Amino acid sequence: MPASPDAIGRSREKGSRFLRNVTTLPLPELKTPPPTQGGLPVLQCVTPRPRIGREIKVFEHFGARHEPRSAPWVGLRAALFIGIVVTGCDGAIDAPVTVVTPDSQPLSACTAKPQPGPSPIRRLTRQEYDRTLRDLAADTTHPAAEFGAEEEALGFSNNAAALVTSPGLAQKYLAASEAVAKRLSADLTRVKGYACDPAVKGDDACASQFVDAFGTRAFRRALTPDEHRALLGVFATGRTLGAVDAAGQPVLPFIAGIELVIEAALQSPDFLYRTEVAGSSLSDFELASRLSYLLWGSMPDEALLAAATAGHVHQSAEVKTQAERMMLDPKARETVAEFHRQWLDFDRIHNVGKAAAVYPQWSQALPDLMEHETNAFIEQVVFEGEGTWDALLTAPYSVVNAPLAAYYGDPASSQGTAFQKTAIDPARRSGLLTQGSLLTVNAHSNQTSPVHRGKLIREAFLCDVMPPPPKEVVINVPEPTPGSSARERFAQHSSNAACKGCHTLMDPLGFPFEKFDGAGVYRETENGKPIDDSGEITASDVPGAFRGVGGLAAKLTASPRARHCYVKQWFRFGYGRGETAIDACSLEQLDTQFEKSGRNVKQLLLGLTQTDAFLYRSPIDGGAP
Amino acid sequence: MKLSRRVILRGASGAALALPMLESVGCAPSGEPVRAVAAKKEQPLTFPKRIVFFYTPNGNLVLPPSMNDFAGSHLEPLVPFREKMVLIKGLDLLANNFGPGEPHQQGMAMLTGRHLNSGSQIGGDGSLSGWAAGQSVDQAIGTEIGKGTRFKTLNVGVQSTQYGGTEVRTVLSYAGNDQPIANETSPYALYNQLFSQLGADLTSINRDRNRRHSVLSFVKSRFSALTPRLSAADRQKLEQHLDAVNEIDTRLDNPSGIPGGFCSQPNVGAPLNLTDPANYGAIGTLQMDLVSMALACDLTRVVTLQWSASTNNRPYPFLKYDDGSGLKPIADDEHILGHQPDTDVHAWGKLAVIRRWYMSQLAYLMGKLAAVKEGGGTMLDNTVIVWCSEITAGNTHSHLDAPFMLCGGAGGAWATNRMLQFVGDVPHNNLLVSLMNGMGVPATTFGDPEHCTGPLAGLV
Repeated sequence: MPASPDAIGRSREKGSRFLRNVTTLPLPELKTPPPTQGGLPVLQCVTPRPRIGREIKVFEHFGARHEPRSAPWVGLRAALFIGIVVTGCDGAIDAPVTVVTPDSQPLSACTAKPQPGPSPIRRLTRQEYDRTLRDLAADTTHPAAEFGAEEEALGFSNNAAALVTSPGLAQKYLAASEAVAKRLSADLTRVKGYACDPAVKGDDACASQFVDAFGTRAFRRALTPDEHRALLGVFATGRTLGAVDAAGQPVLPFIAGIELVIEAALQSPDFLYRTEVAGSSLSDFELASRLSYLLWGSMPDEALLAAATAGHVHQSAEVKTQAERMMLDPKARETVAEFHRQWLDFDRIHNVGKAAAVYPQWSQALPDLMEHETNAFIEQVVFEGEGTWDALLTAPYSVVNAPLAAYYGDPASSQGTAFQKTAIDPARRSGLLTQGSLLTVNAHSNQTSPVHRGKLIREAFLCDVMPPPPKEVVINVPEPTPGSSARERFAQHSSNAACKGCHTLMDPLGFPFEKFDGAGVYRETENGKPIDDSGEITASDVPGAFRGVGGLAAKLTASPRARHCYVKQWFRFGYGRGETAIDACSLEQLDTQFEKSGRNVKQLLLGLTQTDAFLYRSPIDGGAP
Repeated sequence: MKLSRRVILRGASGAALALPMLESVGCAPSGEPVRAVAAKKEQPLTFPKRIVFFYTPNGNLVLPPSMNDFAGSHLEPLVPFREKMVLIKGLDLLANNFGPGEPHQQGMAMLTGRHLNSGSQIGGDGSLSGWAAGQSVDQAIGTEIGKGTRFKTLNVGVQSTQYGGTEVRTVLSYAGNDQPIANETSPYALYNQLFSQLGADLTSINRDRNRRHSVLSFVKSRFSALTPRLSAADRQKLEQHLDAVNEIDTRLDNPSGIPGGFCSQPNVGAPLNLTDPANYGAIGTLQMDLVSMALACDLTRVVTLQWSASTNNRPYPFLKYDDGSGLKPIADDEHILGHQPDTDVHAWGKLAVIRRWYMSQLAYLMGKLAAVKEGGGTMLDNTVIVWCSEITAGNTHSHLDAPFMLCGGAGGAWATNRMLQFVGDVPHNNLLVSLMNGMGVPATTFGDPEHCTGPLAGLV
């Protein structure tokens, strides 16, 4: 029996999202003069928390994290994929990966019987809602803008378990559906599959055709006769009650009825959720929706619906053929961009502020430019260039415009305000990790943050879980004083026993970034001293010393664990849930396929359509078949 | 804008429109005071009680030693309203003083009087938590006193969704265990929800109501058709959604929001950038104007108003502080300021400016309510505004000795112009019980029964 999706969504086996909030809430900066040691401020890593009056209960926050996962269905092989290794640091280091290739056949988690894992019902996110209406009703007004941000889980906003509906949201669904219906009913030529003139064929015949055309597309499946009848009932009511247009003038009774049908369809759970109720296996329509929301974040197009209607979205090969076609559509690019944005949170650059005294060149125009650079770079690598994971980390080019190149001080300059692929000096910069967006988000307002940069690597790239500092710790980030380097200021992290356990996992992955200041600009010196950008990676499958971000990228591209982590992040995003022990086979399928393709990102997306988790569903527990 | 006389006339002659609600909001069609009309029809003259929870982030508010010491304290802006206030010292957020989560997360469950569930939401120090484990007191009160009003509760935020999504630090209100209610943070969306129908003629109101009923009835039938075919967890999710649909369906038949007297459509002005910290105060003013009007129109009787998310890490560029080098905008991260030791004069100096500003906002809201006449008094006399925060102070993160303030007359539920001081472990859940009782909702316990010993001694 699969674990309930609810339990999965809330499991403690969480990935990599400490980073998000910890960097949102920069560590406090010391305002009083810090104690000094040899002229350098000393990091106050551990000081007892002040207490008032009575004893404050200190909750042991990670106590429960180490409970073994002992559900009977957790097999040894499955545990290989999802188990966590507890280190001296009170966190969780992601487990080693077994990659099955055709040449080597070690123990595989896959069996003859598909193991699909849980498949919770998924509500459309705001983006999915907007994109679906764009494709369903040619409505590009972003009606979901008012819905309010999604609950986030596992770092992604589409986690099924976290999406619940309050009266406030239901009210907004109502308002949005009315606005969309008013616009659409004023121009019914925008409804695909509908062409009927009520003056010729009569209101009832046209209404019936409309219900078929619109209902099928809104529900993303053929309607049952009962559903058809019920929607015609809504039409009749609307026709009788009448309606007014945007200017307050009465509309034709036919239009008043159609408008109500649209409102009803758009507030139905059949539209708002991706329901899967066809039985113990997925119907062609359900698979078609899985495909289109995975690859496009929107509803199936005409070709996919037609294939589903004809019963040709069933075999894995049929699914793959469709997926290959769909990957050529620009909508797939939006999905790839969306994944990377949510995975790395670089859009938070719009929330960062930089101290003008330290970074006088920083301007309000830069966040837009830097965010655009990263989006354009990812698109360039995945869709135009090498297409690989390795290239994302190591490409000796970026996509910049002249103002951004000038800000970076890159000798190879770009022309004009248009962004274009531009070669950069790989001795300085290369790949995603050296882009202004990630560098500035993972830094303090007046200095770099080796801790946050190291944490980013640990959590987003290696899928480790770093614990928060112990509760009793008051964290004071040392002020950058003249003559000191970040490495010196953060030295106490590696000498103080209480800090050491975790910080030796993070800080040596952050120091290699020191040649980039807190606002993303390359530098050779800090406070007049040459920068030591050596680093070390421990508790990893690629242990050892290296130098600079280039050295780090080389380590990551050589690390099967880092690749597996990237695959896992796609799994979470693509399937809208956390992985479970039952998904070991699906993850293995993805790892294998990713390796075979030379770690091609587009191929990984295609691979996501070929797993047990995607092609099958578990029987419903307690539901009628 | 004021509404036309014709509209008022039609509204007041509508069969479904209850006169007692008109009484609190102004004029009758004949031009006589509504009260007079009501008296002729022998309707009892009643004014509803209302409750507003006014949350400000990160604690750090210091209550003065006595009711006579407002001047010079954080509460100085509240001097004009001192006689309508009760200050409460020494309560402990005992139900929220343990995990999961970190203190800024834990304290946000205070209106539920229960702790947080485990979950995957990441707090300021990386601690993990889920949503709160029970219904919040605003919902419990709204379910009773909000009957017949359009909105059982209004949950409103001022830049309170600042971590990229709805999470435990961005909500105060819960429909039940694991059922957070997100705040409406856009004054424009709130305006549309509250007032878009105000002023429409009765024919179109009826037509729209019937159309919506018909749509929602279809939608409900779809939920009923789908739900049995889903897993238990999915069923629960759709049942929550169905509850939400039922609630808005019920709203359609609640005709409160009759224009006239003090009830009119407020003006929300030109759109502001809703994420810019510089607009924080202006957005707050808009939300308070809308809330005041929603109360005056009897669209709701229960409001939560959340200023920022807990752990608020934003600057206050519209406030100024002089650290000896001249007045400068406060560009600091508020959360970081609160972490500084008490000896850090400038950090706490800036926080004092910020706290006083929040108190001036509270005074603004009290002033708005006091401007609405109800019988011999004002709407403020029939309302209690409960000030609260998730922790006591930023450099202790303690949930103990958390201050509370009750502002307004609460419809005479308790005497005002006094300070209550508690020693020992007195759970704040007791206050929640008293708030329910004060609003006329019977209760002897609320939230986690482990941390509730009955109504708050000495309040009534």
